[in-house]
Amino acid sequence: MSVSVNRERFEQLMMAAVDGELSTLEQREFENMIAADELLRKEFDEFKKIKEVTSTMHFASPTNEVWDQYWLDIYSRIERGLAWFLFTVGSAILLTYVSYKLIETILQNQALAWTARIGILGLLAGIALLFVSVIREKWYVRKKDPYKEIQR
Amino acid sequence: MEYVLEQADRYFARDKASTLQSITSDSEAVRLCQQGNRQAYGYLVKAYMQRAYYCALGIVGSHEAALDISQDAFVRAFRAISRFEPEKQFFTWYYKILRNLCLNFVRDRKAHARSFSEINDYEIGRLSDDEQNIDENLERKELRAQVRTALNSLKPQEREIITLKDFQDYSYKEIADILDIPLGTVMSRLYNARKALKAKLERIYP
Repeated sequence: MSVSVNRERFEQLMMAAVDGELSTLEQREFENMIAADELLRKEFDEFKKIKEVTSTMHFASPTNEVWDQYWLDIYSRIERGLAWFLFTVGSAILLTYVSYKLIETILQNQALAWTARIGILGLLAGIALLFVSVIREKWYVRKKDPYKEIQR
Repeated sequence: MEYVLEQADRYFARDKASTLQSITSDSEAVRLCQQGNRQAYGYLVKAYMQRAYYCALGIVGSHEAALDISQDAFVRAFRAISRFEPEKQFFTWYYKILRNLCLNFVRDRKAHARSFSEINDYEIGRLSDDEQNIDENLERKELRAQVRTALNSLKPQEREIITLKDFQDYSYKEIADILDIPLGTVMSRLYNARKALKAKLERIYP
């Protein structure tokens, strides 16, 4: 138990030593550790070498134009998000109204045979039911599926 | 008509500039955003866009993806800003959104069996003036190229912590805040990540 605790402590102190984040007390504790064990010192030297290399690397810098455009792109996306929301709400209201008017017209149209009227109404009701069912299923899966994070 | 449009344009331009100039802190910008001021969000975006981009790049490894994901995270953060407490650190909160998007991206890409190494934007650092020796330059260049390859083959979380510390130069305290983990865990994760990197390099340089 104490060996694993010491090992964990050593690993943490070694990282802090590599990154220059040791306090004076920790520095002393760490120096005692590596002075007492040659293998630990060797491991420390290896990690220092890796740090030397990684600290000289950096990411490719994007051009200034990228940064100039960055906020404008975000602003447009935020604005477009609002536009899509309004578009969806507007479409839903319009679709409901058109459907209502269509059904009303079909029911009031005496020239149309009653079988055709029933057929059209059945078709419209079927489409509406399918639409609601698919939306409900998608909503339910999104909310409740415990495996949604797992790749299918 | 043209005159009216010109005046309106000037008015809004002045309004935008004065909004951004009058903001002096993140919490003030957040409060204005919560009141529906979209221009105020520009203050936060401009303050953190580079950090956001490089953090994303550290995980996803591609310029286009890092740009797109970091911007998407800003959009999502704006939509959820009413739930954010202005007293807290904006970037720490934003980073959680960014991190999830990046990890989802990596997971989806893995599902599509695309190799990370196919699309990476790591760049080998410039050689310093004291590195005059050609042989030494070549050797270092080669080594850094190998480190880049090894970094590409690490797990996203391992790459993330190395990126935050070595490429972005965050302190342990800052990393602990960003990742919302204790200081000891930062050191342990860093150890495991560097150990994995060392193992990959040992395979290259036995």
